[in-house]
Amino acid sequence: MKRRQSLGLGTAALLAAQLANRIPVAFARGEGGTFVFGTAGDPVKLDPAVVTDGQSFKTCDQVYDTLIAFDGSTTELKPALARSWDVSADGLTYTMKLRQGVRFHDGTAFDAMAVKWNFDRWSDDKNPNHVGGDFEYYTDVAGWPDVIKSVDVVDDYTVKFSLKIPQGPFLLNMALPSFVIISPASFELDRENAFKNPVGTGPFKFVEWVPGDKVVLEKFANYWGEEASVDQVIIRTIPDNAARFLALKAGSIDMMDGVNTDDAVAARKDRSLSVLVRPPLNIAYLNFNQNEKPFNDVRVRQAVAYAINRPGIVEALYKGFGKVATQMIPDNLLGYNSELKGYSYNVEQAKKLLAEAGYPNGISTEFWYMPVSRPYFPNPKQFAEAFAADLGKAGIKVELKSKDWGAYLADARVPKFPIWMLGWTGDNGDTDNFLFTFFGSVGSGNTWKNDDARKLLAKAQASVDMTERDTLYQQVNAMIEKEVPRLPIAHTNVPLVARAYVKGYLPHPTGSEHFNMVWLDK
Amino acid sequence: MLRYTIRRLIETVPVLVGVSVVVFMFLRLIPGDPALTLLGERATEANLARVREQLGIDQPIYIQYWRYMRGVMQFDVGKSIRSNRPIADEARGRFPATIELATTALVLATAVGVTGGIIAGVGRGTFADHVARVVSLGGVSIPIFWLGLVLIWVFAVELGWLPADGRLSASMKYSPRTGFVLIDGLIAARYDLVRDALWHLVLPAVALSTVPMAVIMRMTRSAMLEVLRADYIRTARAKGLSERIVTARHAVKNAALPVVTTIGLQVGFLLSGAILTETIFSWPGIGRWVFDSILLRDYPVVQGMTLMVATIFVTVNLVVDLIYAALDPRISYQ
Repeated sequence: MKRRQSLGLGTAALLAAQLANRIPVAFARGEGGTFVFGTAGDPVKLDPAVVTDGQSFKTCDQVYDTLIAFDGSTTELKPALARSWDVSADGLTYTMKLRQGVRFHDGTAFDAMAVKWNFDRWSDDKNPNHVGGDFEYYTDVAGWPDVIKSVDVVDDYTVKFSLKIPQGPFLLNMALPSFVIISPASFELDRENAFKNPVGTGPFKFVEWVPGDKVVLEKFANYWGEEASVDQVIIRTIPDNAARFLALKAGSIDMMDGVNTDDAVAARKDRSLSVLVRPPLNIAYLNFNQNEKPFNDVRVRQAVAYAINRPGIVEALYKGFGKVATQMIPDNLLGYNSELKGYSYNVEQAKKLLAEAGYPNGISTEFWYMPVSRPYFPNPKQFAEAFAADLGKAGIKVELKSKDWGAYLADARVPKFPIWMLGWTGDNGDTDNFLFTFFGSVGSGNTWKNDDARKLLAKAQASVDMTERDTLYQQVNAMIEKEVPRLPIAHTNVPLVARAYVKGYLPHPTGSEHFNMVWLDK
Repeated sequence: MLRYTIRRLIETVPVLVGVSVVVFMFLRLIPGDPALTLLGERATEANLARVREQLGIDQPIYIQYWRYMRGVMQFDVGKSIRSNRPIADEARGRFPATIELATTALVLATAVGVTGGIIAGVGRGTFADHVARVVSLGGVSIPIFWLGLVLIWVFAVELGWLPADGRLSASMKYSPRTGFVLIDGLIAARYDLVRDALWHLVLPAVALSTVPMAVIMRMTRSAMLEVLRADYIRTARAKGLSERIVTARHAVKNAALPVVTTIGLQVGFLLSGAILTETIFSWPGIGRWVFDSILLRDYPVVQGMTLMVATIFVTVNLVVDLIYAALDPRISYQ
């Protein structure tokens, strides 16, 4: 019941916000103009197969297309360069029909050969085009070296994927921003410099990239999909969040991401600005070292869950841009278990559990917090102080500690910390991308040695039956609630701020957003 | 003079080698693994090992250093770990931006600092002197970060007089030749470009110039006070020279020596202060790049840029010493 209410309200608010932005599209959609988007960093490379950073994807999303795309603000799938697809009953063969008449920005034709060329480039390290960097999304995020056996051309506009093992999120992975189809002809012309001359089929053509300053794109008139309204897009690098917000207020940019929470709150009161939020696809959590005392005892972990006043902390620190997490996945994902109640704020219960676990006088331990802001924990130190205060009331005295981000990540993997803060932003909107990443294997920060949960997660990963997967994930979520291998804290609605005249922008939970929908009402 | 210059140039070699060793070792003493930072929360053991091997950071430190120096001898400072791109390529675009900003700030700081210092020194205890002392105290006390945001708030957001960010307007088209926008604009007779660039330079240059300006002003003031007490000034006055000629021809020239040294030393500050200024004003220079690279443990970028900045600093010091000789005939370099 509780869950339905929060889902209902959240969805309604989201729909209202998005309708407000979308309705005018049908009536009077402005044409032309330059849309300037301010963001924190430069792209690393404009070759999406070999990057993992959001800044590179932001530009590449405009220049390239995937075979299958996310629909609107959801993680539902819709056809893109692939018109349709069929899956064999055993989940081992996918046959895709491709869109015809699509051309790359260099004028060459998009066809089945181009698709095969791209997959061969990613998968085969002996391929002369397998250059430019690490194909991390292919190997790690999608895990395709163990999944894809071959990609074959059936005819000019049909491709067949043969798999070694079935993969539940196979199609969702296809929508990841790394797996776009780039022009083979342009890439082979100059492999060394291809990363700074992106050529795709997307709604915008690449014009120039001035490192540390901006990327300029212009509308591609022969786009197969919805033609862009604006003539030009400039993605501008403004490293400091506060300075970027001032640039938005001064009018030198039209829209920005990476908004400080306080600025987002201020922007809500400013009529010349509008605040948009991404539906949550992230989790902020606490992790425990269950190899050692005291957190090897489930009662101590439960005590932490009872001791922390999550509703209070979320309200005070996310300031309306977050909600309490009771499970390790957001509630719009497959396998969210609405039967589960979560842990309420109950100091007495926490003390009782500690006493039962053999710590009647409480415990003292180190508590590690991240040195950098992430979307899920916008200001980690403030959160750490709030956690410490709550834990102290229940008799868990913590010493707050932090270290340099690289060292922090390394030590969290061992883990060298007894209890620490971290989080995750989802890639493809699949539950596997959350739960298998956290608990699929022991190591890399996971000390929860629950073989049953691991078996269920592996089974769900290999299944293409969504009902079965849903049930399996619900079971795992119930186990997580009981044993608290990690304590979910919150899901954040990452805010974006725009000038009020920017219309049509659809924030996406993955952060993958397409500017061809944007128009300027000025 | 020529022999002196050559000798000094040769002497810079051990200095730069020393800098390279210190930076190389210190970077590796900081905890944190570049492979892990590169792969982030998603790294697997196999991937980490592969990336470490690719980067050569699985080798003993002396081999890493030897490989690095072998590259430097051939003017190759290597590739960025983060982007896998040659550092020289990226530096070529960013370096002129930083130099343009730092030079403008230095010119501004010197002009205001020296003039203010002279006025304050000559008119000790007057209103102008008090103003100069307050300004120079304020200049060293106000954090650049805060000042930068206030300047943007007042002049870009509230008044709308000056741009808030970047080196040029987003829509300005510009294909670099030297990389220095002002110079390129003048060569190509593109005055719209020059105007736009100057417009964008004002706020960051003011923010960056405050500390050096304050330091130069204080130094000029105290040097002037000292010189004005000297016997030869009394003699000059006794000869019946006008106060203007006494100040301009005798006092300022003699007070110039410590001031020139101070100005030379400010170059170091300007290059490090550029990190903050470039961050706030979204200036596409090396400052922010180096800062990010330190956080990401992008060793080659930090090493390469430190070496470049050290070279500039050493060169400026040499130039300062040569200016001495021009200013003071008693100093000669044999």
